[in-house]
Amino acid sequence: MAKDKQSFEKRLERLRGIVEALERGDLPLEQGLALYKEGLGLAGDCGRQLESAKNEVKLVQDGLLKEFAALDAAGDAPADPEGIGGEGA
Amino acid sequence: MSHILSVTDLTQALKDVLEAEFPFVWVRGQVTNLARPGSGHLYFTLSDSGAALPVVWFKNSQGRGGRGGSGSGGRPGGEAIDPLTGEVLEPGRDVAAELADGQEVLAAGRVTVYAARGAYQLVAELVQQSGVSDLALAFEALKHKLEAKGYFDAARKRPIAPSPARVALITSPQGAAVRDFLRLAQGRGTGASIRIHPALVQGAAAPAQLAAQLDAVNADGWAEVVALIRGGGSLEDLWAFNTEVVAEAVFRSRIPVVTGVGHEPDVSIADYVADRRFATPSAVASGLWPLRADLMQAVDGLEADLARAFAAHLERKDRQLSELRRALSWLSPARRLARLDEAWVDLSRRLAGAGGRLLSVRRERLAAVVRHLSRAFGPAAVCARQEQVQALSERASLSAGLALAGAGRQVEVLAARLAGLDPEGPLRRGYSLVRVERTGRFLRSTAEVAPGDRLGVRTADGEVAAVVAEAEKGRI
Repeated sequence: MAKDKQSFEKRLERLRGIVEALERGDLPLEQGLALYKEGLGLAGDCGRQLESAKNEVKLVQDGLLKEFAALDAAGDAPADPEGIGGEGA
Repeated sequence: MSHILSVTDLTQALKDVLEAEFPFVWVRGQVTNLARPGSGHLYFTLSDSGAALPVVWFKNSQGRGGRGGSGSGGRPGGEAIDPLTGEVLEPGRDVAAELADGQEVLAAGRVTVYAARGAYQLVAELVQQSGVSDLALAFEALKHKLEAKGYFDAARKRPIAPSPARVALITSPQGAAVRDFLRLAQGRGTGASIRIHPALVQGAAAPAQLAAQLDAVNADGWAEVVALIRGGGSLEDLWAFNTEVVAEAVFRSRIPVVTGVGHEPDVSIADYVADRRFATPSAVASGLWPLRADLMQAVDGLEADLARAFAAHLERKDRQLSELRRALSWLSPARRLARLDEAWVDLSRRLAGAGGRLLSVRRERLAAVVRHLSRAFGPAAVCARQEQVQALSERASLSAGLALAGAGRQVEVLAARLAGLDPEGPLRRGYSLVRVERTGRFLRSTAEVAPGDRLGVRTADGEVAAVVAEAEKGRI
């Protein structure tokens, strides 16, 4: 996830750079074509990345990562067995 | 004078303005004049040193601030939602039952106009106890102390990584706060890793746990940003975030800290120390990550830009290509031949032109000569000469006539002169003409006659026959 996300930012940045390079218009044809192909690929990747983007949520307990499933089910969540959920307000 | 309003009109206008301007507000004040009629609705006045605000808290709204002790995890039937932030309002203690004159409370609701009395009032949706005055004093004291130590300095606030990929969340895993946070985060960013570090957020153990988790997150070093969140509550409920131990932990965190504690008007000491303070837990999520829909739109926009830029790039290349093609064909042998051919055609055309001109010059000169000749000897010239001849002949005949006339006159003169010479003229004047018969000649000298010759003496009217008696010379 983190790797994907980082590369999303990088891809977007790269895509921006490609558009700017093409707009400057001093590139050889082959390079322009290569950049265009790369840009299309980047845009597609970015779009797919966003489509499938999902947060990964873990609970850190006793130094271990545990799945955190309370999302959307908080109302039905069992009482906190560890006694740490004392928000209660 | 046309703008005289009726009381109802004015009141209605004020109602429209007030209710539009303050659809939902939070007000802090002291409860006075509390009335509990049998209907179960609560009426009181919220006041501070400067002003008073009538409040009505209807019975059906009172449940929202309802029961639910701390740590129970239980939920009341209906959830109240802050219409400004979308925040689920945390259930609190039974404030309605405990409400009493002199309490500091935080009331949330709509400002309305009660037309019948010409009064405005707050219709409360939620009332929370706003804390006890010694807590408030402690809060102010700590705030001043830390402020003096420079904990709140804007200069030490670190920037928060935009769209962070690794977020440590220090909160209660059971509260509505974490739920709101995660729900909002779902539609944002490009997929982040969120690690929940559970901690009590209320109660005596809370400050130490919060501080310990902050230190643990820093020791781990995994997170790009650490978020400290808790849902709304009274000042006591939120007190852990107003403790020095938490403030110190936030201060010493090497990882930037963001906070979202309580509701909109609540500002905790932790908020002041944090690198970035958000009003609520969900506001933290909104602040950390951009809306995914916006990101998609940005990607789509860039894709469109890319297509446009590439089309322009191709067009430029196409232009360059046709320029090169033109240049190349200019340099090609075929083109060179064609060019030479053209030059040749041009030269031969010029040559032919020059030859033609040469001929035409000669022709012109010839024509000029012919013109001269024809002017000198042509029909026109002949004609002119004929005319001259005609004129001359006319003149000649004229001169001839004149000459003849002159001659005639001369003849006449001559005839006259001739008439003078008529030999008979003198006869008539007395002279006689003597002819010698023997010689037949007229007698001019004495020598021509001898005595006895016969003479014929002619007079004007006849002849006399005579005989010579004597001829003596010199005797006259």
